[in-house]
Amino acid sequence: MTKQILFIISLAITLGVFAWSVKRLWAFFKLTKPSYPIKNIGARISHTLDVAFGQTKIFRKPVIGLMHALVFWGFLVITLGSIEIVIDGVFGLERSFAFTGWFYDFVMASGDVFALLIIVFIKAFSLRRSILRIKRFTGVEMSSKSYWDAQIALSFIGLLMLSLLAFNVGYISNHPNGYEGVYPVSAAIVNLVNLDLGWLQEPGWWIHILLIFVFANYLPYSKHFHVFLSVPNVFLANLEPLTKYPNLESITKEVKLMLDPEAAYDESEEVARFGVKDVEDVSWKNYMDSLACTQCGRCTDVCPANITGKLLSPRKIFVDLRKRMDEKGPIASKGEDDGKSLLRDYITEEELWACTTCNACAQECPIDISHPNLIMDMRRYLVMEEAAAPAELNTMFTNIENNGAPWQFSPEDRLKWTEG
Amino acid sequence: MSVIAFAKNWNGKFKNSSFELVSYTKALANQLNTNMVVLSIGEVAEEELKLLGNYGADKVLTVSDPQLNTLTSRAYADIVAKAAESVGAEVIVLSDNNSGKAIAPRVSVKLKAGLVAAVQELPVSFEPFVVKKRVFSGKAFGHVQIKSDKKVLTIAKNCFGLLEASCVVAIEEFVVDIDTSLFKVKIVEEEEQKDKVILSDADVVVSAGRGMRSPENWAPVEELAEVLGAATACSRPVSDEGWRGHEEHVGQTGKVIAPNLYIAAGISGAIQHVAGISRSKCIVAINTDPEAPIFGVADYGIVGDVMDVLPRLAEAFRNSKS
Amino acid sequence: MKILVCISNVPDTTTKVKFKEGDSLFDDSGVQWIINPWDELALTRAMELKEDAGNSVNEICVIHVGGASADATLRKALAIGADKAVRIDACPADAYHVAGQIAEYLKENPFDIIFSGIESSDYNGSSVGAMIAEFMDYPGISSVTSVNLDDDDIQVNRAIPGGKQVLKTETPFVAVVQKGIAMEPRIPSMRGIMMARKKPLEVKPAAELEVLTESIKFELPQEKGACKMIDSESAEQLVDLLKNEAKVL
Repeated sequence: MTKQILFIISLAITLGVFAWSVKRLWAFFKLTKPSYPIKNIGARISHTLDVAFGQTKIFRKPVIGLMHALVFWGFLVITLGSIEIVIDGVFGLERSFAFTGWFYDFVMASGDVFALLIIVFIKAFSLRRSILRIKRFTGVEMSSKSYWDAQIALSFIGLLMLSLLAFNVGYISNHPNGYEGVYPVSAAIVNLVNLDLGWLQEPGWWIHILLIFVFANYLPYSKHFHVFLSVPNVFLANLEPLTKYPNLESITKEVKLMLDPEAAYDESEEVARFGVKDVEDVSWKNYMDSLACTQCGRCTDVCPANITGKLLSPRKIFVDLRKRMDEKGPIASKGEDDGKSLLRDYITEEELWACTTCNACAQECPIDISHPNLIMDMRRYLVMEEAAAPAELNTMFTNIENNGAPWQFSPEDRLKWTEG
Repeated sequence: MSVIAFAKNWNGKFKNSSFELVSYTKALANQLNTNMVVLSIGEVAEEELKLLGNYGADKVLTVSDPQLNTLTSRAYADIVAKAAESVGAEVIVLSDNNSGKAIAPRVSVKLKAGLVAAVQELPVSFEPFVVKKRVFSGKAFGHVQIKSDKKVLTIAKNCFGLLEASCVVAIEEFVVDIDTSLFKVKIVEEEEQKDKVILSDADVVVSAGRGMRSPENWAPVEELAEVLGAATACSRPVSDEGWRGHEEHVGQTGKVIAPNLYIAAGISGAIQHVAGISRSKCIVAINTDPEAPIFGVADYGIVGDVMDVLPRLAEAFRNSKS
Repeated sequence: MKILVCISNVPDTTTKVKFKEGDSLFDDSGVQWIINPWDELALTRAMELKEDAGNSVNEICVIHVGGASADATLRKALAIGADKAVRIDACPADAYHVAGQIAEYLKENPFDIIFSGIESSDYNGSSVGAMIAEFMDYPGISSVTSVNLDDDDIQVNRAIPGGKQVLKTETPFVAVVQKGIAMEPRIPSMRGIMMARKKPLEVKPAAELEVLTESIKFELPQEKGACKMIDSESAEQLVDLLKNEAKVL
């Protein structure tokens, strides 16, 4: 009874804190602009099965990809077990899903095996991060905070798995005459160790679920938020070809007005701002991308600009967006301003102009973040609001306007090339 | 009815442009069958003033107040106008240089005298008074008639040349009230390069462009310039990149020059550059690309590598001197 | 502080120059008109001065003497960022006339600084700026390569042969500017083009003024003789030719 009450209180606190985090993020989302319409649900489902559940993009790095895929699939299975634990805790039951028979056996067995695998892989990930110098974990946007964020998350996961195994081991020990479910690894441990491990059950159970509660509330503030957001981010991804960049309706309208100055001009339809300067100009999908970003760095790793020494790092664009929203979101919701901006204070013009729009970053991203579209939107602001393009581009614009070509030759010479 | 020329001096010395102005004015006065007067403002030694006689001046008015040693265009314009009135001049002539551009328009308004700037030669006709000048940045010539009684002309550099004569110069101090309230512009600092040949004055210019490939390759350019006693210049991309200073940029929005000889090394000859050099008497182009537009405006051309050709030219010139 | 920028409407640099009516008039068929490049640099500098929070520049006006065909160019100046445009409806017959018209406007509408490009790329008169200064009896500085305002302390750089002068002056004054006054000309942004529609473009009638000179006719330069090519192997030949044939050495 006490256990139930304690559990319900913990659950309530967890849900309360989580709700507060969600409310905070929701206020930030409300600041953003609309994005493309979400259609083609069928295509989206099959795309999600491929990329999110099938981890197809993750496998582009085969070995580490396989390790991550196994951790991910393990998580999915173990989550089913976590749901059972919550039901057990609220209603004072034990292993309440066991009535599903062979399905329960399968899920529990997989969970048990995955737990061990995950412990091994997590340790490998952690050692790799601390001992090896992996280039894509470095960069100006990767502070020591990023490093510790990763190690803390890995530790959480490791402890989660240890506590799960401890719970299973304890449970088996306490039921020498038969138990629900199949636990290959835990059973082996019980057989190997000649001690009574029954005392592990309760602490294992509590630590496991409390860690889940704490971890769940840590995630919104960590790069591991992708645990929640990766599947939705893939589901809501832009399914158009990567290099297809949408036109701005407001510009199409403006061009039409310029071609026919007599046409009625509706003042009320004036566009607030072209392109992106600060967080209130990004689309909700851009912001979601920034929350889902794992900081894996696979994008920056394949960026030709970055490889050849330019300042551009596609990852930095989204890390900066998330940071800036954390800074501006709270005050913008109140209608205030801090005089800073995503453009220039976080992301410099030099970074933006270095992009070649090759889309290698977007192609590589395991959760379908679209970097070049945001970069192009920021360039739109620079050119259309401030005419702050590099001088060579401005010269080209002037030439197109005056000579009908990017170079400064007389339009009368257009056909000179035919003269051989 | 006479003709008056304002000959500028720099630190008490005249330059070729001043002498060219005197030659032109003398020829003009002869055509109009009248006398000419040369005006000088600022402290200039008598020997220097007498040099004007070598180009045809017989009367010189000098205003030798030291306050006027540096140009203040309002004061100078005031004096030119007063001098013109005192000698009853019908035509006032100045050089088309920095000072001429500042003074001539003011004189024109003061005397309600029509002004034509950068005239190319002696007037095409006198009744009506028509002069010829370059228009459309050198792409054409325009014939302009001055309808007012008094006329102001500025002559383009190197348009007429120096005509030597030997005249005895009568020097007269021109006494004039100088209104110091006109000196609203104060000079705080002045910087002048003393060691190099000044680009706008130079008779020979060696210029180089992006074809030199890197700022480290400029030695042959400077060597040739030194051997020829020439000024160095460059095209716009070179000054934009910071390889050479902005004062060397020759072109439509840079300096427009008119030397006797302009050597263009590694310059393609874009239209904006040509606008700055088309008044040169003779243009030599050196470029690896035989299709480069510069060959369309050059008098002599060499298709070759500048790093090879420039030193050979320098050597050849050295040899020819000895 | 208010700045007036004098704008000339000229054919684009790449225009093939042709004449009509017996070579007495410029043939403007098919010509693309632009703001005179030096005036564009002057306007750019004026914008920079206005955007600098340390100055008190609060209005930039552009003025042009010409016909309605120049309105598109004036709208472009507004799109670049000028606050107001004024067109004196008169044919810009000669520099004296143009300067006089602008002076008449200035007498009713005073400005602190008047910018003028050193010459216009069509008739290369290089007179209007200094004439305005004389009409208004203002100080004027020519060959200006930089203008800086530190609060109301005005510092102007002027080019002299082989160097420069640093000058101080007081308002109102005329600055006749050349290359160096701004690094690159501004181009209009989309936002600027949209806002230009709403900015005022006043057309004022011409004042009665004399025209002192008149363009009679034009002449195309003679075709330059073909370039004499010299083999790069015998570059030394060139020195001979320059000495004895061209006589420039």
